Amino acid sequence: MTGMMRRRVMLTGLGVVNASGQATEPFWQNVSAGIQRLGPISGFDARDFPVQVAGEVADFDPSRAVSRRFIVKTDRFTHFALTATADAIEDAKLELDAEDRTRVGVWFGNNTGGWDLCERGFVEYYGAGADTVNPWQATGWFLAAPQGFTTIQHGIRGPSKSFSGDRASGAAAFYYGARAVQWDGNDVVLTGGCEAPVSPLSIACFHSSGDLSEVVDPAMAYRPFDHAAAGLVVGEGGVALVLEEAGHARDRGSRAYLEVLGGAHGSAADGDPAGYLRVLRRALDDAGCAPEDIDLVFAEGCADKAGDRFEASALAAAFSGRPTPLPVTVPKCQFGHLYGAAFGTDVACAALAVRHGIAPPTPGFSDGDLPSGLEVVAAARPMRIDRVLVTSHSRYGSCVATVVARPPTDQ
Amino acid sequence: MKRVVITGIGVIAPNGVTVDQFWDNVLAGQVAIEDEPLMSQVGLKCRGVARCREFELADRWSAQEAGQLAGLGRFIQLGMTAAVDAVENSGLPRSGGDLSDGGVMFSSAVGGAPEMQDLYERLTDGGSGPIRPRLLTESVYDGIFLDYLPGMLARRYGLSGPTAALTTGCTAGLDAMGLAVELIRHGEAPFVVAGASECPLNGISYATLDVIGCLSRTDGPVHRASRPFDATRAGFVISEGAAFVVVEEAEHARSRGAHAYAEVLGFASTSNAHHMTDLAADGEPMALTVTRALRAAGVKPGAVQYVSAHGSSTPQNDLFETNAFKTVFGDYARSVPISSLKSMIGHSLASASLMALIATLGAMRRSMIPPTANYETPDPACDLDYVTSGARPASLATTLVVASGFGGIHSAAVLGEVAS
Repeated sequence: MTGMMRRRVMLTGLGVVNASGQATEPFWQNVSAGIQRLGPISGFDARDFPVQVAGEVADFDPSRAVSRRFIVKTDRFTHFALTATADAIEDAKLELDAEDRTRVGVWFGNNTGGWDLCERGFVEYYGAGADTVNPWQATGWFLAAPQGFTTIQHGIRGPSKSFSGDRASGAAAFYYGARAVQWDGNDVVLTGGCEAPVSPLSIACFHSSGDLSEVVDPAMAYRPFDHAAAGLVVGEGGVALVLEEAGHARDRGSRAYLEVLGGAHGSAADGDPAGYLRVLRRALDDAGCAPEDIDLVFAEGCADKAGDRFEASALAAAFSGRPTPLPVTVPKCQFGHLYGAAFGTDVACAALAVRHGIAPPTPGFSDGDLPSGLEVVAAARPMRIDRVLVTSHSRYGSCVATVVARPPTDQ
Repeated sequence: MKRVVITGIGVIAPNGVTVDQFWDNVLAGQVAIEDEPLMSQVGLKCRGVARCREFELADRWSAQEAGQLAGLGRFIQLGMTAAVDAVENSGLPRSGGDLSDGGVMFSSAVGGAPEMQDLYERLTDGGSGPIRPRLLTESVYDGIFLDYLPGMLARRYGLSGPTAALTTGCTAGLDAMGLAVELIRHGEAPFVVAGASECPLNGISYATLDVIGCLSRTDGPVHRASRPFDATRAGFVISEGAAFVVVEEAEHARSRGAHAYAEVLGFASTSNAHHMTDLAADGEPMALTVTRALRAAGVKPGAVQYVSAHGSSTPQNDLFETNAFKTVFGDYARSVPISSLKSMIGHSLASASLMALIATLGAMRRSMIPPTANYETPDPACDLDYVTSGARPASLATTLVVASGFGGIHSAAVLGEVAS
């Protein structure tokens, strides 16, 4: 993306559901204070499972945002998406009746699908017989179900897509959702995603990747960039962000949280940090930013020793020569890695960090060998934050970086 | 705005594991649908599948590579093979050029669904008990989810451009190509390997689709189970396969002297916001989608010389599409040839639309329109030209490929011939 003519993208509404909160305010209160919300898995009896900790959404009530007609037809991951979407639309004061609905899109990330429904389907299949499988699984479990149900619930007809890409599922959705506005495919995009990975079959499958922490103590389980890093902890939840073309946002008088300045998506499939570095540099260039312009980084922080080294060395190289160390934070270690919802939740967190002037902390970090020039935000830090870099990388090397900034009207 | 051409293709289909074999059989109207004993064994009413029977890992990969792929999902095996075929076919690896900015846009609707069912059986003693944790010695994760294939392909060819996977069900293959085209047009990559792979031939996939009445329940010989636009059509036949294309910026392709199969003139995708599976008979959402794709392409409806339809053989879809074409083409709807590849090889979900696109490239290259097989009984409501009596000679400069899927998604791509 080059040239002066491209459309500018504003973030005007957000909705979050995860272990740290089921609405923006409680989420931010917890996250900005570094209150650890991981816990022993309660969704099923996990005592004999190799993974015992997750970030679960306690007492989640889908009926707040999901119609009764849809609750039975949909899986928990879609409930998260529909709840976050309803909140984001309300937060943005977006009146869809006043929009050209063929220029509104849904761009979601989800890695896993609806495994609650799948496990129910298997019980029916092997128990009462294949012809007794529930009629909702076909449309309820597949990975684009949240997109489909969201478009139906809100009458959204514009270009819409869903992405699966391991930890970077939601990152790809955000990146291409923002591009869909920049490239004039949509005027408004609901981006974000959802994940509901806390079921026996799903946890067994995720664990086989080797990426999950087996630490039993929730306070010690997810420790990005720390000496004691032993893998990530999965969380469940959803996120929705309203992105809209700047003129469109201005015309309807909405107050933007952030402007999406730019970003980049690339691959470091060989595991070489040079590939990640290239993506980071392209993202800064696309956003028109110099390394010293960035105040804070929301990193992937997968808490795998090699993965953290990969990310830290790319970040250190991209930001070498800064006069001050670059603050890096991984607040997802408080509520778990949300895969499809992870990146959108980080962007939501960035929006709140800019607005409130607080860098949310990484309570799982206490000590680690970071390359010089980087420092992990271990405790909440009041600071002025104008420009934030949000990064993600997947197990197989897909790397996404986005730069978001305080909107011009708020400066 | 940059222009985009297709310079490489690869397909692993039930009726062909090389592009030439696939084109030969498509133009011959050869049906590759067979009985699936498991369906009746488990008490389902649906009939027929189409499998890539001629596909053998050992035929296509070194022993070491075959061993590695064998431990992964079948959709990864078929997908990697078709992807490598497409990349090699494009000539990019032999061109001596720098491939590092290239990307991969993969897609699948259900990924490793059979591998997921295997996992369930392993953790429950064959489905007889609750899920109990077992030590899984290898990563079943890699073989079930969608991110492995694009990473593997990027590593193999040293690609550092964008790598992602779309999950938009039965339009996903066309969607992957459409997004790849957008990436190239906006300068994000000089070329992108875009494709889809699907292997949904397992019990739970059959059961979930049969219980909602999607799958074919026709009487008579099983090879006639998929009969798009026929009055007696009664559901789709589920199938497997993979299809990949290399889409490339036109100047990039020209400068290295690459052969271009066609130019991608336009693409569009919309949602009907109506229902996850039901379609309104009037076809309005597909008409909107095709109209947008034609507008993006700068092509008038009357210039379209062939339509590769979604043609799934469900009662509602084929009527929905027929009415959409009537809206878009007006009087010309009765003159434009339309056919459905699914009449021969069923519906392989995400990869079906890209198989149809590759079949369309064959039609353009060989100046021959593929037929709709199995058509016998006219449906008064589906009264367009479905090319029902064998392949038809025609010079094709401009063609249209469309797809519809679960989630209420509709996508369309317009292809144009490239002057050689």
